[in-house]
Amino acid sequence: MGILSLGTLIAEIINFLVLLVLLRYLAYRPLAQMLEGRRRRISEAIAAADADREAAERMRQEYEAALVEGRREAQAAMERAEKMAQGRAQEILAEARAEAERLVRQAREDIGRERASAIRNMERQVAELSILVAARILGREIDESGHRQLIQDFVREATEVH
Amino acid sequence: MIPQHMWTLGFLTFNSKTLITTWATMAVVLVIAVAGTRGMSETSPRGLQNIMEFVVDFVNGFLKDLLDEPRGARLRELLVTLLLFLVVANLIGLLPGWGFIQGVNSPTADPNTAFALAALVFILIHFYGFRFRGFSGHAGSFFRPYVALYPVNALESITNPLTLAMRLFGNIFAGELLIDVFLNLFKVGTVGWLVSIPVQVFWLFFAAFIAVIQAFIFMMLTMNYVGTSMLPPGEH
Repeated sequence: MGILSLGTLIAEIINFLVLLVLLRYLAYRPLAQMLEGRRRRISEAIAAADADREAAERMRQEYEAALVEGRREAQAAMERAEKMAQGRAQEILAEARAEAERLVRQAREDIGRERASAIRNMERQVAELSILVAARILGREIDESGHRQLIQDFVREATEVH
Repeated sequence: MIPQHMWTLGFLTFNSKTLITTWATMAVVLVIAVAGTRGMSETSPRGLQNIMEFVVDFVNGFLKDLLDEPRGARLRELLVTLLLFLVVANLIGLLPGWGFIQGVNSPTADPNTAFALAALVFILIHFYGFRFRGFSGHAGSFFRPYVALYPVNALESITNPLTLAMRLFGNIFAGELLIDVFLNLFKVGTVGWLVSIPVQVFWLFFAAFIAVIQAFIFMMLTMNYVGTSMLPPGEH
């Protein structure tokens, strides 16, 4: 049982203050330092995580932009190639058409020439034949050179009918 | 119950049992606190470090609700020390083995210890009151909210620390006095033994519970009284 005693009361106040001071230097200071260290470490870790996330986001955007750019370029290249191919096709077609026309024209010219020469040939042969036939019918030799002009005129008249 | 042996120094007398158990309490608190704050880990606390962190966090949690930072920092170490000291002081008397001083043993079962702490609280209330509110602010707080309430406020400034001490002393003293009574039952004989042992087991558990609760209440009320005196009057 405690008897009220001023000495004990004063001693207990001193005891408590001694404990407070001892704990301050032996326990609370290191504890506060540790807690401050932990606080700094956590805030650093959070800052680092934030920075990493930002960097990752920036990288993602860069890659996405590069992807879009690449896609756009590929599209453009394809379009360019297509346009070029179409141009080339037109060119080839035009060349082919020109070539064909040229061939047709040449063929027509050849045919015309052939036909003219064939007609000339035929006229000559018909004339000769006619002279021959006429000589046979008349029983005498027709002077070939003398009548040739006459016969040729006849043959021309005859051929002009058709 | 053996009366305290008195030490004398000049005209002052000291209760030897109270001082011995107080020093034992201080030693236990120091060992726990020092061991808990050596080789601490920032990332994975273990053992006693957890206890120290828990106590500091626990006090901080209440302190933050009452005071902003520059003010709260002035009370933190006091309140943590108070809580650690009182938990150990209230429990230490329950340990057997004090031998020559069986029965009422805790330093807080001596009213001198309780009043010493209450006197400290009283001094701090007015020290921080004058410091943070200014002289007229703190003196004026006795006339708030109405001048007519001065007697009540004045009385309260005495009764708050007084009841703080009496509550602590009463609870711990009564708890340990009852243990002493139960120990005395052994003298009655067989019936006394049969009654005493189960009651003691129950009461020891209950006294330990009360010891922790009283330490918490003392710490909380100290925080409230001293913390409030740091704030402008009428702002709490």
